[in-house]
Amino acid sequence: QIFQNIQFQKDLMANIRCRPWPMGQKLRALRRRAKEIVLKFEREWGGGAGSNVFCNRTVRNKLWRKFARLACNFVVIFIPWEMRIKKIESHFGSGVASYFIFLRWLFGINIVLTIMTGAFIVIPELIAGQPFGSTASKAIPKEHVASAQDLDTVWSLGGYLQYSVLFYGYYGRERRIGRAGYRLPLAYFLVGMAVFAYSFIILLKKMAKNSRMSLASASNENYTFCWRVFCAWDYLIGNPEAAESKTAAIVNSIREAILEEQEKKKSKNLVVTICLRIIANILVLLSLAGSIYLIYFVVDRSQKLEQSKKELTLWEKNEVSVVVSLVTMLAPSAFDLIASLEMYHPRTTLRFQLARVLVLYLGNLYSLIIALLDKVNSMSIVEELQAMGLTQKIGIKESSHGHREANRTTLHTQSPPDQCWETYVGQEMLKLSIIDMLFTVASILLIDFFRGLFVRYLSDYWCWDLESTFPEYGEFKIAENVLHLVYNQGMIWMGAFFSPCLPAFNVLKLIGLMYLRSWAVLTCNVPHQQVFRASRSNNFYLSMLLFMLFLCMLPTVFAIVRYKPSLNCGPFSGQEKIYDIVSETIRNDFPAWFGTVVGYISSPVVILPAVLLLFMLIYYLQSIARSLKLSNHQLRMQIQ
Amino acid sequence: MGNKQAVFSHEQLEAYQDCTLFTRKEIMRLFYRYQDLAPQLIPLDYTSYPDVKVPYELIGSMPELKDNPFRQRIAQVFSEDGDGHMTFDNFLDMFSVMSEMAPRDLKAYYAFKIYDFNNDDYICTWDLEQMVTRLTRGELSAEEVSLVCEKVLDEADGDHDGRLSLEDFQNMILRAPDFLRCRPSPGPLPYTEAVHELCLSFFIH
Repeated sequence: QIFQNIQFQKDLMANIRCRPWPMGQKLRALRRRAKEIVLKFEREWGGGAGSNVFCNRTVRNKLWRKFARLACNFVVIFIPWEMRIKKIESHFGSGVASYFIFLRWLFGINIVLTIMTGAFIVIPELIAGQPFGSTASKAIPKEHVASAQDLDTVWSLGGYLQYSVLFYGYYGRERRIGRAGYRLPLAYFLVGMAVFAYSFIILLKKMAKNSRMSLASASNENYTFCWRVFCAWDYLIGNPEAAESKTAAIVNSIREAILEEQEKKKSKNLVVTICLRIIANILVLLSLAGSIYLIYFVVDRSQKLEQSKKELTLWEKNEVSVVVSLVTMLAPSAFDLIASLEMYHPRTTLRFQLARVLVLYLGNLYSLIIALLDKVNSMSIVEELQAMGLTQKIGIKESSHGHREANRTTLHTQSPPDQCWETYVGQEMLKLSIIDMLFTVASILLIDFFRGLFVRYLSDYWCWDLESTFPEYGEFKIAENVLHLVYNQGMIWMGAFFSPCLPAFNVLKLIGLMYLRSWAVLTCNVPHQQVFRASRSNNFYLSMLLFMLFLCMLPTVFAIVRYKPSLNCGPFSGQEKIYDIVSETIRNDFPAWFGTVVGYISSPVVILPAVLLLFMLIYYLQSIARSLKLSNHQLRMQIQ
Repeated sequence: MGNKQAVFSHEQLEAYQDCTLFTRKEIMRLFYRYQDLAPQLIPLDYTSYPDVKVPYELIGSMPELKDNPFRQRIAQVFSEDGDGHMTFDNFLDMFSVMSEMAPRDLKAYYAFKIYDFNNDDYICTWDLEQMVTRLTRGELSAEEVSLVCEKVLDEADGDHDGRLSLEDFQNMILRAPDFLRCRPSPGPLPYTEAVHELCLSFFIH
């Protein structure tokens, strides 16, 4: 009972600092009772050991808290572009800022991908691999050397660029290179797979974190206004500029909430709306189909041109990339116009718009990749035929020994032209990425900057007021720009296996994009009239990215599984399939029992039950999640 | 800091450490900040419990509070007589409540008092209007302000008496999701070190 008393007084003392009393009252309470009693008892019971432990724990806690705070402050310094994004957030609201935050996150991912590919593939090849010009796959063929430095060749990524670490074709096929015996081909394959694995993991982790946060507050949307008013002010602000920015941000968010309220009250007229919506959907479907057909047609035409003509004009060489970029730039605005027919709630309109633009982008990418793979198919068929023809010729000529020298020269002149379909795919992806970047820059400058200049300076001399009616200042279209980022990243994922330096290029592209866009937003754009986010949780954009990642992984996997690697170039030349490198390594470099174990594991006897088990696990976890959600809901009802 | 300082007696410092969430070093740092506000006014010897107050104008000019739209209310709530002039005890109290170590319900209690402009223990419509106007620096129109106040009362008023009591307010605040967190301010302030030690984060940080 005495112990209980002591404990009570100790609790009182510990809690005294958490009581909402003014200092004087606290001091009086302290002086009056708690402390003396506790001290008295501690002295009596020799509480040396106990109080020491207590002291140590509090001291450790305080040190840890201090360290955590220091670390947090330190890490914040390294987050790039924080000031820039804050400024944009305050002027344009959280929606526009979310685009830039997403861009920064993608930048982080690309940096990790660059480090992975750079450290494990590019740098070993540069340091320890055969130097440029030593083997056939690393040297520019004689007939192309003269034109290797033409602008034309450089633009289409030929010449020195083609025979460099940029593309798959440069990497040697020796199983081990350098003094340490670094296994380059194995590393190439594993890093290629690791790129996808890492992207999946990081994306899923972020989505899980976001959904955890949004679930926790799922039903608390009743308090939107309260939170925006009471919890909005950041008490850490200490300079006038930040205070102004924060005030602007708060005003924006309150206006957003007010608009949302007003939207709820609008009434609808059903029949006309439905007719208009049907028309709009038909138009959209037509334009989607049209764009896919157009791209396929253009790629087909470029293939035919390549087969029939020897010299192609600049336009003809780049036709594909230009058409793809033009379509991706113009179609979303067309969808925007069509969507004004539909008269949905702005958030629904935004979602429809996003879905349509996503389908457009995917359609484009896929029709492009299908056309490419078609060409790859024809290339590898030609290669096989030539390989077969060559062996026949060798069989005939070897019968006469004395002509061995002649054989070698004939072999050399009759060697198949440089067919390297992987390098070709890598080149196309890189070209697409470059042209996309050029078009983005052009569109930002033309559509936003010059429009802004035009409206600002010519509106005095124009017939009608340019600033309030057409064309006005540009608005920053969040959804489409985010989708463009997703599309851009999809391109990188598609091409990363065939062009290891593509993530590095993307890093530079994203940096440029960040600076250009943030400048454009702050100088040429006005805040959205209607401020709506596509969804309350950030998972919407992330799920689009996940979808894109999955779909962009498929062509690479398909190409790896289906096509034989080129004979003359790359780390896997000579193998039947690219993934054979793994089984070869296991056979040669691991002990025999390991090989047999792996053989058993990868047989259907083990794989099928494992897949079945996974399905059962998924079903079980899903039913648990459902029941937890239900009980959560019921508890919440009870509280209210 | 050790035992060399002669501003407070040992018992005083112990008492302060028990009553606030600060360590001895932080308390001394706060004292020097307080003293800097009015060097002539504040004696360097507090062992005799002098009764000195720093006037509101000097408190309101501190860099942490200068840009805060609610600085006047904050000073009034924490001061002895509600007039904004603060003794060192009040000063410590204020920083203790606003530091990141203070528990949420403590902060909610004081937040309620700060937002209750007319001190009647309820946040009524007039209080809300004052609050929103100060928060937005007059950028919103009158109808927008009244719409916002109406919606706030709609959402949070549990007992439907047209004003928010402490329970309503606490109920609503303690459910605020963690991602409405206040980020640290951009750029270092003049008294960087001191401020970093005393993170003034009101709600969730």
